[in-house]
Amino acid sequence: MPPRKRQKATRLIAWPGRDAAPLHERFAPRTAKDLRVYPKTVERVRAWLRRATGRSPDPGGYSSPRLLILAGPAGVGKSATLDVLCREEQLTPVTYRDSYGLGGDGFGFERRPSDFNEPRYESQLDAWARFVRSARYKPLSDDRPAVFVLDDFPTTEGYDDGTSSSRKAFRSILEEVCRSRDRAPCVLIVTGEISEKSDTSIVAERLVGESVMMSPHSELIEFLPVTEKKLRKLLDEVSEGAAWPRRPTISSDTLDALAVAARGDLRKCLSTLEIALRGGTTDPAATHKSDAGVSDVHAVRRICRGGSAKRDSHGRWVDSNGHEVDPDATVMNSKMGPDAFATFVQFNGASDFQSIEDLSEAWRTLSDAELLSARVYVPGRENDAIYPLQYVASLTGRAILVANRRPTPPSFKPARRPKYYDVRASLKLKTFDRRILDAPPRMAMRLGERSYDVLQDEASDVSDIEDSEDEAPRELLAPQPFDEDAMFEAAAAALDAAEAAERERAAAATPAPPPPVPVAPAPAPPVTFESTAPPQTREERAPPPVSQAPAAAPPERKRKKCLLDTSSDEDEPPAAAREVVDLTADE
Amino acid sequence: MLWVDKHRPTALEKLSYHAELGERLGSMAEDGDIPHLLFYGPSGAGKKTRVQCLLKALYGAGAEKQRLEHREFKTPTNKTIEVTTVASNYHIEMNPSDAGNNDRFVVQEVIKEIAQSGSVLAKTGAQKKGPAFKVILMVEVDRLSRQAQAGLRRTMEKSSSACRLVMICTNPSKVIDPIRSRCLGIRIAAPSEEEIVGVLHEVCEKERLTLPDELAARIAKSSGRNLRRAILALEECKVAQYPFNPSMPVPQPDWEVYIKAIAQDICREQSPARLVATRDKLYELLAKCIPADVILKELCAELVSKLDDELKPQVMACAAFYEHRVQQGSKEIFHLEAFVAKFMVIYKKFMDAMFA
Repeated sequence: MPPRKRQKATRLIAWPGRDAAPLHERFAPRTAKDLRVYPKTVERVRAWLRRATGRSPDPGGYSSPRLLILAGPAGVGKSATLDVLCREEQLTPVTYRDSYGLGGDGFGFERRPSDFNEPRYESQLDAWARFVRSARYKPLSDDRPAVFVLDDFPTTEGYDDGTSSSRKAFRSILEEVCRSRDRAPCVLIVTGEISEKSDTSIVAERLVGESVMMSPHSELIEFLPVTEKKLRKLLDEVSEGAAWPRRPTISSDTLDALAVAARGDLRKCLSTLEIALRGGTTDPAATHKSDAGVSDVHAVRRICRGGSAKRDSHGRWVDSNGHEVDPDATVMNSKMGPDAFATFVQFNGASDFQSIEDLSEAWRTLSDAELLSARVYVPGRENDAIYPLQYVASLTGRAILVANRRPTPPSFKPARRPKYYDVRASLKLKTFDRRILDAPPRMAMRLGERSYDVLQDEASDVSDIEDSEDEAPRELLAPQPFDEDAMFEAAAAALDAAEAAERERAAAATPAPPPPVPVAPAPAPPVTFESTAPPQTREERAPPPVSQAPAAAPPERKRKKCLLDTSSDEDEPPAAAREVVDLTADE
Repeated sequence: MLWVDKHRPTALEKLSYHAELGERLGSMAEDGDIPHLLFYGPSGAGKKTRVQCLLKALYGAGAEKQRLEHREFKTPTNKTIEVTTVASNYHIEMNPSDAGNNDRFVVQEVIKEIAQSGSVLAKTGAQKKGPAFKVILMVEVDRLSRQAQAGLRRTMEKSSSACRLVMICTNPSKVIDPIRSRCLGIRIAAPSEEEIVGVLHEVCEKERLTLPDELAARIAKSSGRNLRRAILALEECKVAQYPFNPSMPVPQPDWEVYIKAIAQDICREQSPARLVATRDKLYELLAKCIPADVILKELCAELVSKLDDELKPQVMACAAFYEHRVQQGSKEIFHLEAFVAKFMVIYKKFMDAMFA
């Protein structure tokens, strides 16, 4: 395989004297240009530092900045940005790194001898508070302004509502920082979990409290996960630099896989690269593929093919290639999330069944999964939802795995976008007239004129059995909670793109036994009501059926999305396509 | 204008059936004060017709001047919800369940708004004798979420001086107890077939048509005691052929025909491939705004009518199981398909046993 982009990659030069250090320290950024952070973010931090140390005038005038909060997922370069900028701006960072309360050395200054008279025990929070308060004193030895970096702070009983006493104390210390004058500026670094659903700024606000967030003396700067492209480029440069003066031995595919698997975490990305460079395994990519790195297309197909997996002597599921299948991890780690994943599996899985009995069992399980996903607990969202997302993932992953005892022989089947989303999109454009239910064909069309009526259908009579205990969104029309939509749209568009690429790829591949037969997604047979209705006799009076316009709309939109996405995400499809072809060839 | 709308009675005295109920509503309106009301009963029984008549009796002809409004509401999370309302000077009609998950904001906002402005309007308005409250007419309250119903209950208490709530639903068991206990429940039973025949003749008289008794009876029978459906079918018959032929076919809603076709398909072959084919049809129905619970109910009725008695309980149990899930979950297609698959298994097993 020809190495891609390798010629273009510039080589990074390691820091002298750090040969034994981990890669992310050996190749730590030297200047702001080396940072893999969005440049505007870097400039915002720099501007803040300048204002806080009085080197550039404060545009707001009265609000001298005292506390900067850097929030973002782990390994995106929050601390690195601060380090680099302190160096460039000639500031002395003072850090607190005494997370275990082991003594005074970590503070950067000695404990006073009079401490003998005080009790030896000091709570972590007190120690931290003492450190933060010491920002009032100027460092003696250095005439460069100091910046207090609160990189490491005592944990205060989770991200709760701020009622616990330690949390209150923690917040009051920060409030004090915001209030007092003449102290060195402080930078608080808050690491939020990587999750598309939780906003790191919310995490930060829960931690520090509203009054600190709202203070004119504090500022929040958010860091976003590093893009896959940037990670890929960095991997190229670092692997060049690490192997210098020899050529790097690592394959371009592995680097691709590593970039995907890191999910925006730069530090993790480099440490996995390190393992790969040291030759820890023969094919490091293989170990990461099963981690987070599989594309969603492949993950969906893998779960749908679950029927061909067997249990080995240890009770693990092993697929026909001898690889372990971990249904929970595969579903949980998918970008689209378990609920959308279930929809994909439900839409794409049916063709892998030979017997309706197996299918019925699996569908029952998927129905369970859907039921739970309607009531999944999301932190910070106020409702009666109680179930963890893992339940949905587990059921989704195992539905076919367990039930499909007689799978169809392997063949190439692309994973397709579920129609459910098209239907839902088209329903959003329609107003719903329940009188349609009572109207004979021609009347139904005329009813389209009136969009508003009350009348309920008869069906609810049966549904008395419903226990009125829980109320879940029951309508297709209902706007889905937060941004499952948006996430899904992205995932679906990526899938469309990947699917197209797969087909191309499969067509181009040399025919392996059995030859992969690309199943072109046959257009659904035009099933419409109009076909069953008697021919229209009074066209001049009947308005055009309302349903046609919305029905035509979704495909257009879908195509647009697909185009958008292929341009931004060019790395993914080929990887997915390769995997799918492998899968069919082996079986 | 459709006959259903054209010949809808507008006064309580003119209602064709449930005369006693009409009288009671009339005396309530004469009194000038009404409690909160909850109308319930099957579809096409005349719930809303009665409510409109009651409004007219309360406020006079002014209540008939209605205008359509699109209103926007902002939730605390800054989502904009659009809801369509129909309003006169004296009442506002809305379907809060259109707002989906955010219905509780809509319910509370609307009531608050009316509670603030309603009484003023009634005092200064041209209407002098009218009652000093506005009416909020809410339809499909049984489709409101629990939170919204709880919110409704609180706001009902706070604002009962300025407005009265009139609610309409088909299934009062889906309305929470606290609300039911705050309302006077009024049950509108479905008209009997004879009553429907009577109404059909009335309509034909007004339209100057002659309707054979036989056809009227057949239309009434096929309507399932749903008056609206009967009148729509009558009009469709008129469009298809006039003068009426006593033996002419009574048109059925096309989605029902469609579901019948699905039922036939399912009974003909039971395989994963058939399920995939059926799925497309189910999606088609959902895309046409046919609610999933209606699909399931109709499909089940259709299947059961073809089955051996031995299988019926099994199939009904399974339909009830999945219907419940349709109500609870959010992606109906999962449960519809699961029902179809389960039915296929039951049916196949039965057929195999019979021919083996």
